[in-house]
Parts: sequence; structure tokens; C-alpha cells
Amino acid sequence: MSGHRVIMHVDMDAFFAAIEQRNNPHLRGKPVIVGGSPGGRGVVSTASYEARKFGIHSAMPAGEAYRRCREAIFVHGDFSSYHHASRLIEEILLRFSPAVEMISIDEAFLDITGTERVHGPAEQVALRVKQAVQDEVGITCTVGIAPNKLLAKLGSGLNKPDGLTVIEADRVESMVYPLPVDKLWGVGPVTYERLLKNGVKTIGDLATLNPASLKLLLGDHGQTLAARARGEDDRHVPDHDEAHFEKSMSHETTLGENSHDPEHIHSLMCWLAEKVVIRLYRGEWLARTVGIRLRYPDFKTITRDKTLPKPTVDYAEILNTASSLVPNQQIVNKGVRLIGVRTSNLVHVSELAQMELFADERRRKEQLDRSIHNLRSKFGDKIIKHAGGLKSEED
Amino acid sequence: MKFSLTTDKIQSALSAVMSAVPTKSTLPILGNILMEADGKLLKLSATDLEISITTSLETKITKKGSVAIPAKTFADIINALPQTEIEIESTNNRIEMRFGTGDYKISGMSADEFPKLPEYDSKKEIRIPANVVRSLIAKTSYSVSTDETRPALNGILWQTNGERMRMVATDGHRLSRAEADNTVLQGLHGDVIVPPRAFNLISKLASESINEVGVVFGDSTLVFICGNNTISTRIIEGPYPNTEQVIPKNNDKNLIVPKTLLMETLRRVSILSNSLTRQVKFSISKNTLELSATNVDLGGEAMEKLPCQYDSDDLEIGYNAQYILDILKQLDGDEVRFALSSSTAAAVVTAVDDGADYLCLVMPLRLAD
Repeated sequence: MSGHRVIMHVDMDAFFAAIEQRNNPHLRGKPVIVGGSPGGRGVVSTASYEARKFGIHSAMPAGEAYRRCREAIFVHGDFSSYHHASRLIEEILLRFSPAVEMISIDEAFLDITGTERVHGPAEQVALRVKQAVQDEVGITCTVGIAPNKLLAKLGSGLNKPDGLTVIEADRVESMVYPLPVDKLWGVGPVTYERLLKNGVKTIGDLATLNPASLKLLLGDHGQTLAARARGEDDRHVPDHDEAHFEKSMSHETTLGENSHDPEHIHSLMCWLAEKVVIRLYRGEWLARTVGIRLRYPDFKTITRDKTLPKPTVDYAEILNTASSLVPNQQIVNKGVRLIGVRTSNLVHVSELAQMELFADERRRKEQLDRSIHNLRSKFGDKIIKHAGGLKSEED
Repeated sequence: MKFSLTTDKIQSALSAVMSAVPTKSTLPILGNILMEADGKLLKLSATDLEISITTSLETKITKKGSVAIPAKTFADIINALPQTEIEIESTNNRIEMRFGTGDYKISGMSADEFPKLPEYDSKKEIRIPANVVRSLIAKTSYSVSTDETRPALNGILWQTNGERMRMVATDGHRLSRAEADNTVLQGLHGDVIVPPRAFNLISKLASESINEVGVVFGDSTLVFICGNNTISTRIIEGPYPNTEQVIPKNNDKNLIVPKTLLMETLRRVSILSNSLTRQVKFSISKNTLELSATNVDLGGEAMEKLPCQYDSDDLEIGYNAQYILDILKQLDGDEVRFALSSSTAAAVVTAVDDGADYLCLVMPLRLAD
């Protein structure tokens, strides 16, 4: 991509928790944790800023979060509410540019190159976006502005919550180089540790590392990471319509330390599957193929997938299918450093024309799902369980 | 264990039991065939824990015994042999096969490690006509659902209690219900849901020469006896959805079409249908049925008209062509009747000649405006 671009990264602040606090005044100003329950095996989906003060973060086991903060209020995700808010945000962003890429439910890239004559300077656009999100959605967000996606995202990470950061191309060395190297996209916990051991502490250290050491430390991936460290990134922001033609959706997470515990992996997968399902809902997609991606500590990565008889957006079906693909024995033996849930072979709702014989039954099933969800959000996960889940607990 | 027999005999016995050997399994023992020799009978068994097959044959046994033998390797060897006499002996779970000048040895496992096969009381065996069972299976098994989230629909509902014996299968988009006279089973046992694999094996093993199939109802298993083969299968837990309530009673728009003509035309037109939905549009007007399809990816359009008997309001209905073809393949007679009500309701498809014995439902595809 040539020429000077203006890319904005808009990131909601503690999105799920913020929506909960917006919906329920009693939660405002308090440590709120979305996802999991104190005694359960789930993981934290989002922690409010009040909870983050206790060191609580996303993907942390709920039990651990509870130990860190006994006053924390655990709430179950109200995904329809998040989904709705995300839709509003998307609509707001589309007022400023047609090139809006929602990269997840709570963050987006905008390419506002050349919109200055219509909307004014980039910083003013950012302030207007923040104001509109505050007025119309009732939550705060943080914006990063830079010549590319990488720097824009780095920028929004610098000044959270409710912040605005501009990183100009000629300020990369002064603004980005001093940052810890794990702030860089693509540097996960394991890479970070390896870099630290070798004295590479900051992004600048990585950017200026000589090619031979790079290769030695990071293998073929080194070149790419070093380029990123220098702030180079030419990925473009697809037009909104273009982005909606995605044919797969996935979420993955790198574990802080390798896990040998299939149950821990399972709870992470619940969390990942949830994120995938939300995105499917947003785009009104159904998935025909569900898969997993799993990386062992030796970096060997496997993918497995399974094609379903009918496209689905059902959380339980996607989770169960993904779980059935996990090689539990290998996890116990070798450990896991990264796990991902992937859906592909997507079918849009509008393509789904086959009518159902038992439509009434399906409606009843949906009602049942809703009732279960309501019970759980009032009384916790253990109040009601699928019999299949009970059986697996006995095993 | 030591016995001898001709290769054709063991080849045919093996081909029956191999159907129950799972292609991949977490339990290595299931990749084996249990071989038992006692008295005059040699028994071969395999199981995937859902279905087990045992086949017995009379042969010359000089030493009794049993062993579990790796199914695939054993079958590969046996099937590669010419017609000859073969002697098989196992000592300490090592199996030796001798024929002509050949001598092959493979290692097996102890027969004790093989899962216990379901037992049944042969006094409870009831014999039913094989051709009836075969026909009901063929007419329903294609509608069985493969959706694992609804286990009951993964089987064929077999109703044996009433005056008519009935099999029903549905995947939620279509339904097939076939029935026949039921004199022997009436009043003996309630409904069971049977995995289609077990039924398909019966169709395969109850060859034309077999007139009757034995059946033994257990609490959680069903056993079928077809000649020398015993097939036992897990019964799928219900409940099965109430299918009677989805069968429309008031579909009064009757479309009657020559079956073979419809089948051939539908096959042609569907070549240019959407590869995902397989949608073919039925545009029905007085005595004319127009079939049409489009495939945007191919830039394809197809249309054919065929004569029919129809005397109601014009209708446009979309169907998955495969669903209709599956039904037409199983229908008897020269003419097929579609009893319709609207473009969004199930069609009742029957043969014009014997409407009562075989009924199929198929839900339409929603036509894009």
C-alpha cells in the first residue's frame, strides 16, 4: 500500500463489563467480572477496570479471580445486549468511513484516509467517534490513530481507558521503541520469555536486532516480527461490505503457561466458542464446519475439523463439536500452548431456505435454551445442567 | 486352537463380520476379530460397541480354543489367497496360517480382552419375512438424520406393536413412513429406534436366499439372526418425535406425474441447481409441471415442461431435488402423487397405486423473491 494512510483503531473499554455497568447502576464503580462463577471452572471473559486493579484479566480462571478479589461481582454474559451494542457501534463508525472492519465484537479498524475534507482532521474525527459512542451506546472507548493498523492498535493500547493516542510515522522511534516487546502483535508469552532471556526487552531492541540473531532467536518468523517492531504493516482495511464476505471465523488464545489439563483447555474453549458464536450471530452466518487449532509446546501445530450435517450457530453444538476434536491424551502428555476454535464453510442466513418439519419443536428448544440461560444467570452454572455434561463429569 | 477349511468359506464369513470392525477406534482390541472354535463350529465376531456381528460356520476342528486376531491384516491375507484348503492354528495368541507351500504367522491378542458380546435367549426368537423387512428398510433409511444433536433421529423408528408393522425415519426436512402387514410381532413389543447401520447390514446379509429373519427384543439391544449371521445392535434411546402430527391431513391439491419421466427430468434440471440447496422450482399449472433451476456460480439456467394431472390453483414450490429423487427411487408404480396445500407446507408424496403403505413428506425450500 503506497501513500500516506490514516488508520484508526477503536477499542471499547472493558466492553462486556461496561455494558453490564451501563445496564445495571448497582454495578457501577464496582469490580465486575463477566464470565465464570467463583466456584466454577470457567474463565473470566471481561473484567471491569475496578476489577483489573486486582490483577484480574481476561482468560484468567474464575476461581483465581475470586481469590484476588472477594468483593468481585460475577455476572453472566448477556450476549444479546453486547451484540446489540456492537451493532450500534458499527453503525456509528460507518458514518465516518465505508472502510470499517469490526475485528471482534468490541474493536474495529477504520481507514479514514482522505476524509479530512468531509469530516475534519483525524483527531477531531476520533473525538467525535468517542462522543457518539458515549452518547448513543453509553460506554467509553479508546482510539489509536496511525499510518497503519499495527501502529493504530498499539496506540489505542497506550492510553486506556477513554484515551486517544496519535502515532505519526516519524515518531515510531520515540513512542513505540521504548514499549515492552510483548506489546507487539505476534509476541505471545512464550516468544516474550525467549526474547527477555536474550536481552530483548523493548520493541526497539527487537527492531534493531541484527538479522543473524533474529534468525537464531525466532527462526523464519523473526523477519516479520522485526518489521512489525519497526512499525511496518501494509494490511488494508477492507470495505465494510467486503469484510462481510468472510468465509471463516475463529478465535484463539495463547496460554500464559503450557497447560496439561484438558478441563482447563475445555473452559478456554467455552470462552472461545462463545466469541465465535457472537461473531456468527452478528454477521447472520451459520457454520457448516467446526474445527480447532492447537499448538504444542514444541510449536507443532495441528488443525482438525469436522463438517456438520446442517449449518449451525448453536453454541452447544459448536462447542461440543470442537471439544470432540481435542486430543485429550496428547494434552495430558505434551501440554498445549495455544488453542483456537474455528468455524468455516459459512452459510449466510439468507441462503438457508430449507424449511423444517418440526418447526414448533425447534421453537420450544430455543425457549428451553433461553430458560436455562436465565436460570444460570440468576443462580449460577450449577443450578441446571445438560445430562450429557453430568455423564462426562463422572468419567 | 486348530481347524481347517476352504478359503472361500472363510472369505465369505470374514466379509460379513468386517462390516462391524470400526475403521478407527480408541480401543485397539476393536480392530480385532474374535475367533472361537469349539465342537464343529467356528465363530467369527466383530464389534464397534454399537453393533456386533457373529458369523458361524461348520468346519473341521481338531483343537478347540479362541483368539483375537487383527482384522485388517487377517482379512488382507485371507482375501489374497486362491481357492485352496487352509489350516489355521493359534498357540499363545500367535496365529499361523498354512496352505499349499505357504506359511504365514501374525500375532493376535487374548480372546479374554475382547468385549463381551450381547447374549440373547434363542427361545425368544421370532421369525419375520425377510422381504418385508428389507423393503421397509430401503423405503425409510435414506431419510435418517445424521445430525448428532438429535440422537433419536439418527435411527429408524420401528413400530411392531400394532396391526401394521411400521418404519419411520426423518431428518427434520423430510420423512418416510413405510408399513406392512404385521401378524407375527403384533402385541409383543413396543417401539424401538434402530441405528440404520444395523438395518442396512440386515439388508446386506439377509440375501435373496434367506426367507426369514429372526429377531429377539432385549431391553437395550436388538438381535437379528440372518442365516449364519447374528447381528446385535444398541437400541437408540427415545423419545422419537411425534411424527403423526406433522403429516398434513388436508392437502387437497393433487399433482399426478409419470414417475420415470419426472425422475429423469429432475436429474437433468438439477445439474444446474444451486450446489448447496439443490433447489428446483416446481411451477404447477393446469396439466403442466414446469421444472426450473438456476446456478449463479455456473451462470446456469435450466427449464423443462412435462405433462401432469393438476386441476387446482397455480402453485410455485421449491424443493431440494435430491430429496424428491430419493423418494422417487423407492416408490412403486408408474405414477406419483404430490398432495399439496401451499408453497410453504409439506408435500405428501405417495405412489398413485398403493398410497397407504408408503408415505413420504418433504418440506419445500423457501423461494427467494
